[in-house]
Amino acid sequence: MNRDTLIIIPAYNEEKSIAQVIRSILRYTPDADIVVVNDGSTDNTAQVAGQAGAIVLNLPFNVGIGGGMQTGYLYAHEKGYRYAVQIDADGQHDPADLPRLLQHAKNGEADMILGSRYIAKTSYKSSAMRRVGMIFFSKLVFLLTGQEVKDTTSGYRVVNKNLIDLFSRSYPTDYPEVEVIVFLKRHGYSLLEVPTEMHQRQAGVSSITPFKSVYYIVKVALALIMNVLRHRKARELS
Amino acid sequence: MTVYLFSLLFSVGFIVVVLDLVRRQRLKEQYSLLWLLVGIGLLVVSSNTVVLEWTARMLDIKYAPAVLFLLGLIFCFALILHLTVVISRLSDRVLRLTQELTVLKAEQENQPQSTIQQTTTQQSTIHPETAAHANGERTAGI
Repeated sequence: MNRDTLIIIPAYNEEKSIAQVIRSILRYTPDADIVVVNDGSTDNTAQVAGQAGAIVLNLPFNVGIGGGMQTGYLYAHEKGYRYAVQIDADGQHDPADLPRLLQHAKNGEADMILGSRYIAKTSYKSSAMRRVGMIFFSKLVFLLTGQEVKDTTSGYRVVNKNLIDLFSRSYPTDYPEVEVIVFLKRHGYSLLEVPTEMHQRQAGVSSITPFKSVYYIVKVALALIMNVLRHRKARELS
Repeated sequence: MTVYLFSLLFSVGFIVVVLDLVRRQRLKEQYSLLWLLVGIGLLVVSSNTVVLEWTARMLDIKYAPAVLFLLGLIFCFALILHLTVVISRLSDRVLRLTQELTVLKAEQENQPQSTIQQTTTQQSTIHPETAAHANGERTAGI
């Protein structure tokens, strides 16, 4: 296998936007393989993605974003890819940023390159509730890891082989984005946040409701603190 | 007297049901031991009130049957906690199995032609060795 980069797109009922996302990725990074993790979709996500030129991993039922992403990392690990990219299926992340993100990773600047909405001004507008959550997580992550990360919930990220191996073995479930940051820092890996463009979603609706946001914040905060307690030893050793 | 008789019959019935569940492989032996102990405990308590009254005195509980409620409640909490731990482990394993199955399925479906070519070429090159292995195992088996 010559190709060293795998682009992982977690998708749940994204038949309307997935083909466009895949075509766009192929335009900017024609030398990467694309895998769509179809997380038990009830629409035609799998067929549409397959026709657009992606490898499709069909989970038999919905396992959540964390379980789905880990399936992608497991595939990357077994196939020996050196870089894995996570990008959303709803078209909010701009594949034009991909070559630049990958270049940071290939230069060895960090184990994870995180595409961030908040470093530079972008066209993305977020709700007040979401901003409160963002700032809370940002502060908490800084407290726990000592690194300032502005866009902790960004699902636009590149990881190298070290992290592919780690993630294929162990990856948080449910809402993993923030937890992964603390998890990898606790294991002594590095993270670099770079500015990326962020669009409004093309199709579908966000699954976040006010009640869910509160549950999300409490649950993730608990998970982050547990990560620190669990991996205190891992950090002391490294 | 009737409540004592009822308790006795209930305890015996409970033990019989547990044993029958194990016999029909509906309950794992691992858990049946726990339930048998509970059944025996119930039997002891219902056949002899002295045990209960003694325990109540030791714990300074004025109303002896309250000991039953207390112990029953503690037991339920402990058991439910244990069961959620077991469920957590099970769901971890189910997730892992699902993921590995999904990756395996994709590997099969996505490169049928190239893998067939690979395996045929591999077979032709490795054939003598594998044949020797197979023979060796077979003779060893006999």
